[in-house]
Amino acid sequence: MKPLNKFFTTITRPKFVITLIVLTFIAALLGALIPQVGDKSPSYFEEWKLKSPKTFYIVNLLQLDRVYTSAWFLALVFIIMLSLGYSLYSQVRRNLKRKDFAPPAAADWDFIDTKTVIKQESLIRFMRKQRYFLKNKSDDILVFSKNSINRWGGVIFHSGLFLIIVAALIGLAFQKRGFVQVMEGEVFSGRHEDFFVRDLGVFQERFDVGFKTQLYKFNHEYWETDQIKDISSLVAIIDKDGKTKEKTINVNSPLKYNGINIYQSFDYGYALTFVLKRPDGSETVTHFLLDRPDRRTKPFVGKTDFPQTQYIFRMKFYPDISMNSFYLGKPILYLQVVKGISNPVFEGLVIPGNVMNIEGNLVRFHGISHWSGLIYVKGFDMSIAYIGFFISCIGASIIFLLPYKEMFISQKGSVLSLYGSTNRYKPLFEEEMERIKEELSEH
Amino acid sequence: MNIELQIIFNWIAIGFYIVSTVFFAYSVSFQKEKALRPAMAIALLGLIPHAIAIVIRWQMTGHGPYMAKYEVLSSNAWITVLLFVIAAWKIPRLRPAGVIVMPLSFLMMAFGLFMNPEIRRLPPSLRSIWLVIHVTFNKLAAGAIIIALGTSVLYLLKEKRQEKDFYKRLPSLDVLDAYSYKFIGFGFIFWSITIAAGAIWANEAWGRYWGWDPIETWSLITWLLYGLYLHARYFLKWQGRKAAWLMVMCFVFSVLTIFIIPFVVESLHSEYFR
Repeated sequence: MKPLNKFFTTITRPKFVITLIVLTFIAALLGALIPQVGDKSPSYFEEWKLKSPKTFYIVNLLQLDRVYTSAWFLALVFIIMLSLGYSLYSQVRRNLKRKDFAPPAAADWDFIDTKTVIKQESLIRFMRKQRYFLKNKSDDILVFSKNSINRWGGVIFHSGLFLIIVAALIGLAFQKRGFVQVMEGEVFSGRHEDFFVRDLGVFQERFDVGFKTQLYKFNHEYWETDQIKDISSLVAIIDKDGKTKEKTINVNSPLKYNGINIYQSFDYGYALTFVLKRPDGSETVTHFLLDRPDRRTKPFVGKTDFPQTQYIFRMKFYPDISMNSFYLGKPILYLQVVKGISNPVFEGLVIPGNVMNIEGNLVRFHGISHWSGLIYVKGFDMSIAYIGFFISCIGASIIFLLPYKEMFISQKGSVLSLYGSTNRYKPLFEEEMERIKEELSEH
Repeated sequence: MNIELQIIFNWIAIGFYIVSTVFFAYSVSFQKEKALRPAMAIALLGLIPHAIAIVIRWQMTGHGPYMAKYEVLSSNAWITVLLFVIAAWKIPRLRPAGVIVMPLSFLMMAFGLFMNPEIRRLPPSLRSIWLVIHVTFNKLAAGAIIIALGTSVLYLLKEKRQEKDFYKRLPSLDVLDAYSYKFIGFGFIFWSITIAAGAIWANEAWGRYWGWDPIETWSLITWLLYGLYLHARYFLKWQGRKAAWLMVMCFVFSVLTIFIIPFVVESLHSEYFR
C-alpha cells in the first residue's frame, strides 16, 4: 500500500474517527473550563501568572488559554477535514460500486406456508403497500428495498460537516473583523490602526474599511424590567469622494456597504469629556467611555488613566440626579482622582461645566454624549457554511429516520422464503418482518 | 389576575402529571399493566391546562415561552409530555417509560414556578425568526432525549429483574435498546438543527456564525457526545448496558448545557435563563 493511501486509510478507520471525536470533545471541554484569552481581561492573566506561575506556564505552553486558535486545535480540525474528505470519497465510491446483496445462505431464510399460491404481481403490490420497492427480479427471487436513500445519508451528512469545516477554515484564514467605539459626532476613519479591537485571519495583514463612518445619534430604549428594548445607531457613511449616506444600524439588521457589514454591538454607554489645563497653559482633552449598568438604579462606571498624567479617574455616573434613569436629565458624577496607585487628590460630586483644581491643574467636566460599539466585518460569503448546515441536517434525518431495509422473497408453490436485513434498529426491523410474515401467511 | 390564572393552570397541570406519575409508578412497581392506560389518559389531560397556562403567559409577555427559567422549563416539560404521549400512543410498549418521563416533566415545571415566574422582556437580539426555529428544535431535542433516557433506564431496570412478570411484559431488552438508539437519533437531528439555526442567526446578529460563547461550546460538547454515542453504536457495536449508561451520560451533559451552564457563566445565551 502506498504511504499516502495508508495515511488516508488510517485516518478514516472507525476507531481513529472516534478518537478524533473524543479529542474534539476534550478540546471543547478544555476551552469551556479554562479561561480563554478573548473572554478575560489581560490583567486576569497577569494575576494568574503571579499567583501560580507553574500552572500558568503549562497552560500557556500548551496554548490552553487560547484553545480555538492554538496550533494543535487547528491541526486537529485539519485532520478532521482530511478524514471527512477521504471518508466521503470512499463512501461515494463504495455506494456507486455497490451491487445488490447476494442472496443469503439457505440457513438464514425464514419459511412460511401461505396455503395458496400468491401471484408475483400480488406479492409486489403487497410489498409496495409496506413501502418496499422491487429492486431486482430474477426467476425465483424478488429483492425489495425500503429507504434506499439511506445509503447516501452518511455521505450527505458528512459532506455538510465538511463544508462547515471548510467555511470555518476559510474564515480563520481570511476573516477581517474589527470593533470600534464611536462617540456621537465623532468620525471613525475606517483605518486599520483606528480599530479598538481587530480580529484578522492568518493570511490578512490589514483591515482598512475604505470609507469613514460618523455617528450622528445613538438611541437606546428599555423595557420596564430594565432589559434593553432597542438600540440603534444613526450613522453617516462618508465615501472616498466625500459623498455621505445616512443609515440606521439596528441589532439583527446590519448595515451593508461596499462589501462591509456593520453590526450594532451591545457595548455602549455614556462618554464623559474632560479638559485638563496645566499651569503652563497646555491642554489635554480626553473622553472616558463608561459601560452601561444592567439596572437603571445603578451608575455607569469607569476607571481609567487620564492620558499624559499620573492621574487615575474613578467614576460613578448617574445620567439623572434621581438615580433612577438610563436617560440624560440632570446628570451627576461621583469622581475620585487618584495619583499613582493610591494617593487620592480629589473626591466629590461634579456636574457638567464644573472645574476642579487638582494640584494646580484645572480639570473641566466638559460634556456628555453617547458612545456606540460598532462591529465591522468584511463579509466573505457565508453561503458555504449555510449550505453545510442545511445539508448536514438533511443527512442526519436520512440516517436516523429512514433506515435502509432490504428483503429477499423466494417462492416455491405456496411456500415463501424470506430474508431481511437492515443497517439500523435491527430488533425493530425483526418485529416488522414478523408482522409482514403474519400478513403474508393470511394473504 | 392573569399571572394568578396562569399559575393556577400550571399547578392543575402539575397535579395531573403527579397523578399520572403515581399510576405509572404503581404499574411498574406492582406489575399492573392495566394502570398504564389511566396514567396515559391523565398525562394527556394534563397537557390541556398546561397549554392554557403557556398561552396565557404568551399573551401577557407578547413573546413565545423562551425567556426566563419559568417559561423555558414549563414549555420544555409540555413538549416532552406531548412527544411522549404521541410516541407511547403509536408504540404502546413504550408506556412504562412514563415512570421516568412524567416526574422529570412535572419537576421541571415546579422548579420553574419556584425559581422565577416574573415576566422578562425580549431583548432586540432575540427578535428574529431564527429564535423560533432555534428554540423549537432545542425543545424537541430535550423531549427526545428525555424519552431516550426513559427507555435506557427501563433497559437497565429490566436487565436486573428480567424474571418478574411485569418486566416480561415490557418490550424485550433488544427492543428497548433499539428505541433508545432511535430517540437519540431524533435528539441528534434536533440538536443539529438547533445549532445550525443558532449559527445562522448569530451571523445575522453579530457577523460570525460561531464565537465559542460558553453555551455554544457546551452545546457543541453535547452534540459531540451524541455523535460519539451514535458512532460507538454503529462502528464499535456498543449496545445494551454500555450504550444505556452512555445515554445517561449524554442526558447529564444535556441538562448541564441547557440548565446549569447559563447559571454559572456569563454568556450571550444567559438571557433566556435568568
